[in-house]
Amino acid sequence: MRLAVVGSGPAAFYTVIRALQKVPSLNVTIFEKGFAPFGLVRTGVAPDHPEVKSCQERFTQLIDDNPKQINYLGNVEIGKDISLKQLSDQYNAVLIATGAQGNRQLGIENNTAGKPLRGVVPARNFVNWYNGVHDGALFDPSLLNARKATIIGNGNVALDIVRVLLSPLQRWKDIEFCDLGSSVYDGISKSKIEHIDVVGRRGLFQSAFTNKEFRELLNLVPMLPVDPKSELDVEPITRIDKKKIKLINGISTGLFDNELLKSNKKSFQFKFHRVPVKFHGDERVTAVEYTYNGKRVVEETDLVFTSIGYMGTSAEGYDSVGAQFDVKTGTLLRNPETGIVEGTANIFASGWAATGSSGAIAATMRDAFVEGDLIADYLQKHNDTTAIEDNEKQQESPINDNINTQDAVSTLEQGNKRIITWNDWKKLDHEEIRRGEIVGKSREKFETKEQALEYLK
Amino acid sequence: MSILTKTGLRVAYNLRPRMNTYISAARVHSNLHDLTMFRHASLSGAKMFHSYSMLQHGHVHKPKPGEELTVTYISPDGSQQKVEAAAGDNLMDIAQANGVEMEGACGGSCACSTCHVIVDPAYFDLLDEPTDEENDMLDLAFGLTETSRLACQMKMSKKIDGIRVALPAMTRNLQARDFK
Repeated sequence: MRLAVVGSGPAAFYTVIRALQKVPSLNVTIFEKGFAPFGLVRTGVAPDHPEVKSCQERFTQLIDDNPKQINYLGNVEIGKDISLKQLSDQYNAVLIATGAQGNRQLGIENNTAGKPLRGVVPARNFVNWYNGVHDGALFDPSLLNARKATIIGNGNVALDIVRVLLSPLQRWKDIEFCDLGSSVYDGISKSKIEHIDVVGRRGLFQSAFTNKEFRELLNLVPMLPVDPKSELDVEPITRIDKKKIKLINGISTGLFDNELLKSNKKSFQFKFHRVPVKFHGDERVTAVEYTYNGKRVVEETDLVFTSIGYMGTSAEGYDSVGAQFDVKTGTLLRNPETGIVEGTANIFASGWAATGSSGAIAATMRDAFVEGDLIADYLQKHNDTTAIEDNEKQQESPINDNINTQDAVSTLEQGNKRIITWNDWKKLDHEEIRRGEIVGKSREKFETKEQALEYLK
Repeated sequence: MSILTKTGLRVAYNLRPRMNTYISAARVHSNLHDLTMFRHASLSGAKMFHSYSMLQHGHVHKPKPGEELTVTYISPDGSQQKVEAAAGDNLMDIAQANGVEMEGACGGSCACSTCHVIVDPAYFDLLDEPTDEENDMLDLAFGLTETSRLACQMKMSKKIDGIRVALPAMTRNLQARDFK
């Protein structure tokens, strides 16, 4: 039995872990578009949260321990190098675990001339940059010459951005196993940003940030009083909201009393009930216009991050396999009973590609485990598909002698495409760790695919 | 039947019967002297799938003779596994060393909620108070109860000898479109 997996983030790995527990003889091929695995664990989790990245070790161990069963192929893009249709035809089942590749749009990002304003940046571009993903240069660190920045949206990504930009620089030396890139540290240390507004369309109790991130931030960056103050008069009901209020009240009662915080002259502030309607500025953004309390207000800013959520995009090949994709939520529609993507025969999906971009790793793991169970059920029911079994016996893989190849993969291997195998990745991984050791960090990442491929030459 | 067992059974309805639960625990780190794991490994047959990384998680000690403490883990399907443990080890490491299906995505550093368990109320008050950090992570736990804790934050001690904890079922949040 063969399972093809598109993507190599936590959704992919946790689904595979579960499917393998249920079908121990399963052969798995993981296709990763980038040069490195682990999805948002590597490119989304902030560099000062190394403990959240611990799961990478578990994922690495899974492949290291099961080399005969799991084949990892990096730098392979489904829809370009291999079609989804080919995977669907040649594997017993296909898992799409590609996450949410796009950004939810405010719809007001452009200026009156219809051009994007300089200084209005999707949060994702900045998150990629501080995580060392510099392919395509989507964030220009010279924008950090701004004095004041505004983040539209108040989830954990917004709090990550505040923490990265406004924490005392000492933080990056204090964190053990930090993997903040040297060039990124350079950019952050030159930042002129003194204050960040974190703006929400609704109120404090509708904001999506978690108390863990909030508590951490309050220990690092001074917070100005919530605007409007009346927001604190709302009675908290849930456990989470009660704690939010307790944390805010803790600012004046000395709950966050530490030297690092006292020495920090920068600040952030929550602003609620503001609906952004327009950005001001000709070439570069100068202000955001909101509706607030039924009125129009204009608040000046030098830099805007739009952080209103990642969103899945319809991928190349969804149509060819009949996959139903909900444009409104940016998610693949799954049959709740079977886990199969609606409209397809054997395609499954897990993680943000199916659920949308909310929830931390625990939520993704839960979704992945359920999908892994359902894949196992499907495979056990359909293990009499002799055509595929025959195909399996045909030839040996040039990539990994222990795994029989599929036509699509062997065709790819014979072409010019430089596949980054698991062994290649291990070389890159070791080199990143070696470079990190020199500068006292857990790793110094390759910043572009070109750099990675150059090293592998 | 204890409240806890009922909880386990109630949440089990949407889980399929679990097979090969113990196959996954076959990787044995050299400093781990757990004979039961060897037994499981030999039972599991030719196709071995290694799920647990003992290098990462297997920091458990062998209890000294006469000082063995016990923990009972209750699976979502209601099945129970009573294991011996040494004082000082945490309930996540103990679970993983004994092949109990418990994930610890952050490696036991209180940075995720994947090792969420429901503690038998009879033992809950014997535990030390959770820290603010643990409470923050419990905010994110699925199916939070009055006696929820993170296994990685509970250290085994004589005081809680015999403790019983239930693993919550892995279920999917129902989405609005599921009702269409």
